[in-house]
Amino acid sequence: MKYMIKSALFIVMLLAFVTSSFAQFSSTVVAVRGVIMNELTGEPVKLKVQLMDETGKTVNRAFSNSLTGEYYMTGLRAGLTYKCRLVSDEFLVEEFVIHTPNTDKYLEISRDFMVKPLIAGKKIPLKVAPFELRKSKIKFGASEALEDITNALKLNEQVKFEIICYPDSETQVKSDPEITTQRANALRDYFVAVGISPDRISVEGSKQLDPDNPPPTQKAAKGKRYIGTTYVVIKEV
Amino acid sequence: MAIHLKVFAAYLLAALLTVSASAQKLKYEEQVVGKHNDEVLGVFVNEDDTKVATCSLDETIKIWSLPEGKELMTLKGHLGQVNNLSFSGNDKYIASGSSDQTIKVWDVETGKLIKTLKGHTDQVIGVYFSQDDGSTLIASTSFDKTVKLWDRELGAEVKTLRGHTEPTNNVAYSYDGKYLASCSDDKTIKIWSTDIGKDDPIMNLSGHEAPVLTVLFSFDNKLLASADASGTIKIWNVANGQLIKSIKAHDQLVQDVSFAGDNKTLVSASLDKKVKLWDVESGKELMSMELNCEIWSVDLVLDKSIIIVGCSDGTVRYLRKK
Repeated sequence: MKYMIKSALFIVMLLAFVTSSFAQFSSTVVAVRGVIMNELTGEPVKLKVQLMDETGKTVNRAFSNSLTGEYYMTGLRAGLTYKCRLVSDEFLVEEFVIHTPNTDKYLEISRDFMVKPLIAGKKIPLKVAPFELRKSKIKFGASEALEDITNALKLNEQVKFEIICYPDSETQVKSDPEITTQRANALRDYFVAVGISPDRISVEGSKQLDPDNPPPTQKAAKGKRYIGTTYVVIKEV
Repeated sequence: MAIHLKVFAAYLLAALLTVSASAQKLKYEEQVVGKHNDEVLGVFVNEDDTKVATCSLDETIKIWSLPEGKELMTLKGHLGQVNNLSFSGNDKYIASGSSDQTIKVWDVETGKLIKTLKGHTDQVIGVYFSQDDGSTLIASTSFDKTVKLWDRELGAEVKTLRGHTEPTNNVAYSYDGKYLASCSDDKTIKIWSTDIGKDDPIMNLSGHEAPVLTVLFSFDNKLLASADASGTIKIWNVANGQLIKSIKAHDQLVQDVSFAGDNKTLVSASLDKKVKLWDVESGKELMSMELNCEIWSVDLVLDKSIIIVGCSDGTVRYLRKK
């Protein structure tokens, strides 16, 4: 009996501690600051930043500065997850997840965003190649790298787009001319599998090197390994 | 006349003996200890000289024992080439930066991925843990032109440092934790305070005539070494930003340099296939060794007894002092 009372008391104290810790974290204010830029030009962008909590309720909104692209929002709580929705007529609507850290002190975190122009004909490059060099299958784990573009295409249901893949090298154009079509098809299949309507997607496998981003002619500093570029091209908005 | 000739010959002999003696002191023997499946891009020796980590175009990180050269583990998880890596000051963690735009933090003992830090909007090129044991900060550079600071414990991006006008290539903390140095394709180096409240650099160092690819503080925090895409190394006084020495060190780009524990010796390696040791005070070349591969990255143990190089043929090589 004595043991049971002791156990119950221990559990109550533990619960109180956990609850108070959580309350302490969730009452701590976190601010977020960053810059919003045009993904294609790197220019700062003015648009509406809408912050929503886990229930979808808007908790803050602000406009980024047209000259610098800077935005600042405070009033976030520690240890929570928010959605940051970026809205403008000239750019695809995009949403990004922000996890605020568990902290008991005021904290300012940093987060920059790139947004994609909503203009027919614009070619949006996938900065992280979803393919391995000389291979056409989407590589294991690439869904993480494709998350932002997938979410953007899902949120902008009216947009029709084309996937264009360029070869890795001149040699590949001769030795494996079909690889770019295979890559484009693989990516279309991926988008369809995650819920994007196939009616919105067309594909093209280029037989020529990317004129906008050709392979380097000499060895440069690291980080510049070349895998043929993949673009999502906006066709209809 | 004959006496003069004899004196001259004696001087010449003495000079040759001196050179030969110093050359003998700095002879190294090459040993291939293992191999990545593609080019090795980064090498980092831990604080107590017991492990070295390497990263590669093959998207993996490998940890090797020192001095043995035994491959201990391979860390997989990045979606792109791993451009650089760094041990934490307490040797418990490794941070790695990749073309997949993320920084990953790994537990050195278990090899487990602890955190993925997302926030850069282009490839991550440089990454460096604060070497202060009490700090949980990591700095990173990227083609997005920023320097970002991350808190490993909170898993949060705590600061973005802006000012470079071209991609930022590498970053380093001073060992006293007071400063951060970053370098860029814009040919400049910026020194920042690690005080999180400060937004602007303390110093801008100009003088390089090519993109600056790497920076590193000496262990006593007095010197900063930088190297560029033309093969030039520069040594700067951290206290006042004055250029102390400029050395045309290599024929091709120098991606990596490292100080020895004496704070006077610097190792450099280049795509010209050479590894060199320098006396940073005099600018004198203490050793030059040509390998049969292009070299992206280099580090050494504190007493210079082993130099570790990461090669473009995927090999990891130990150069052991004879």
